[in-house]
This record gives sequence, structure tokens and C-alpha cells, in this order.
Amino acid sequence: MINIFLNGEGSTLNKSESLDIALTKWGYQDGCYAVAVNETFVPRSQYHQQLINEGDRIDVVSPLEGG
Amino acid sequence: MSWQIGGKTLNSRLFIGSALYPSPAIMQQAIRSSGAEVVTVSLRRQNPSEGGGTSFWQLIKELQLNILPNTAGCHSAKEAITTAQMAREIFDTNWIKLEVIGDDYNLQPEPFQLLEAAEQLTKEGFEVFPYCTDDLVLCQRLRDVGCNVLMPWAAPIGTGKGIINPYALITLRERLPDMPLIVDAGIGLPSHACQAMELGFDGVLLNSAVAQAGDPVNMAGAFSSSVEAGRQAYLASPMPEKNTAAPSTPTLGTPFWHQDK
Repeated sequence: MINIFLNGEGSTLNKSESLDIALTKWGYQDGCYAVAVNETFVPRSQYHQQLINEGDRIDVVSPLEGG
Repeated sequence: MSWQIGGKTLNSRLFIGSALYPSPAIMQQAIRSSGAEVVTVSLRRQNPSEGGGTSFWQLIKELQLNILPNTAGCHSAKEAITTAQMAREIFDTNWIKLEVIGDDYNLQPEPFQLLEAAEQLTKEGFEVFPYCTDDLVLCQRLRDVGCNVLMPWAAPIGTGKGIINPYALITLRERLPDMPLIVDAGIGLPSHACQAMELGFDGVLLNSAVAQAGDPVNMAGAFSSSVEAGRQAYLASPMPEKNTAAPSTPTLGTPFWHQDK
């Protein structure tokens, strides 16, 4: 079990997993979103290479209104 | 008359935001009524159960406008750069409205972090639209690091005060004659937007002034007209201001006049 932060809130994964698998488990489908891990952008093409580790901070963002 | 900005040709000089409207439907109607061809959007954390921003994004896409994503809420160059990179992937555009806030009370841009982020992002191929103060030296430095457009504020975001320092904006226009300048933030009334355009600014970006009006759709139309009026006035070269009165009606042949001596 590892502890991570998803969108600022504490969460867990059974083990270190790649980002694409983790996103699927969290319910993110092929929607319109982008991801940063520890404040560093992860291109969609690299999700399968990006391993989620203990303490990682994952931000998943989508379009919203803005000025 | 069309103009170029960020590698694209536009007809409207009004840029409009997508936030704070009473409803999504009114947002769509107001944006259409504005005639704007550029709309600003943001990125925010979304949980899958909330739909991932899909419904909002669908409404914006239906408008078929140019998307200008912002980095609102970022307080460091690092945060802004990462947000810009995520925006480029989602919106498939290299345009970014670069916001780095230095003070939460008046949402004043943090000039040093803004400059750092602008330099990095231009190196990465972004077309950076920096939201900045009206400080001449900051604007010159932003130009020096590769910004092809600058967006100085009229007043702090959401205040609706209009242009609080006309001298600074006039100075920017005079000292950066070839730089596209868009007044961003602080506009409250169509007359404020018109004033910015009369000063020779290339465009106006606003959000709250339309979205928080009692009738956003009609106010959007009013801003469309005012921006166009201000532009035409600028092109028509306004008369010089004078301190002494000068009659507009000819004095020659004035009745009842006679020479006393």
C-alpha cells in the first residue's frame, strides 16, 4: 500500500503502478483532462511509463470557465 | 477591418471570458452577442464523477472560437509553466494567457515570476499573452524575452474601475508602438473599453463586466459596439485637447456686432 495525493486529497494505491493504470482505477476514462505529477506535466503519451510512487502528488485537470 | 494576433487573423478586437455568468446558456448567448473571436478558459481539478468539465467544454467548442487558456491562480513560474503545458495538450493550442499572481488582495501580477515563466514558455514555442501591470520596464522585459503581445491591466481583476492610470497606459502605447497591446482586467463599462481603444490599444479582454451585468447578453453587445467605436476614433485621429475655448460657429458676420472704437 502506498499513500499519494490525488487532486490535493490523500488517497492510496495497493502498490506502485503506472499512471495510465492508476487513472483508470480512479475512474478517469478517455476524457478531456491533463495530468501533472509533483507539479511536473506528464504528456499523455508517457502515462504508461510514469510510475506512481509513495508520496506523489497527482493533479488531474479539465477545462473550466475562466477569465 | 481584420488584424493579426498570435499568428491568427481576427475581425473583433474584443476578447471575452467564460466565467461568472448566471447560467451556461447565458454564457453562450453573451459570448455570441459580444462578437468576440477569442474566449478565455481555465483548467481546474476535476473528479471523474463531476464529468471532467466535459459539459462546459462542449458548450465552448460549439462556439467555434479561438481558445485562450489561462494560468489563473498560479503563484509561481513553476506552477504557471506546468499549467500552460497541460493547457496546450488539452486545448491543442500554443496560446496561453500567462497569469502569475503576486498578491491575493488585489490579484496583482508577480512581475519576476511572470518574466521567468514567459521566457521559458516562449522557448517552448508558446505564444504568451502575459497578464501584467502597466509598468513600462516590466513590459519591455517581457518583450525582450519573446512575448509578441502584452496584456496590461486597466485596474485589478474584477473591480470594474476602468483605467485607473491613463498616464501609464499612454506611456506604454507611446514607448511600444509596434507591440500589440490588449487591456486586460478592471474594465467595468463600455466607456472604459472605448477609452482603451481610443488610446490606441489593439484590443480589450474582459469578463466580469459582461458576466456580472444585469443583462449579460445586451451588455456584451454594448461592449462590442464600444470597442469598435474606440478603434474607429483612434484611427480617425482625435482632435487635440486645449485649455482655452474656441468657438465652433464662425465669428465672421456675427449679427449685432459693432466696433466700439
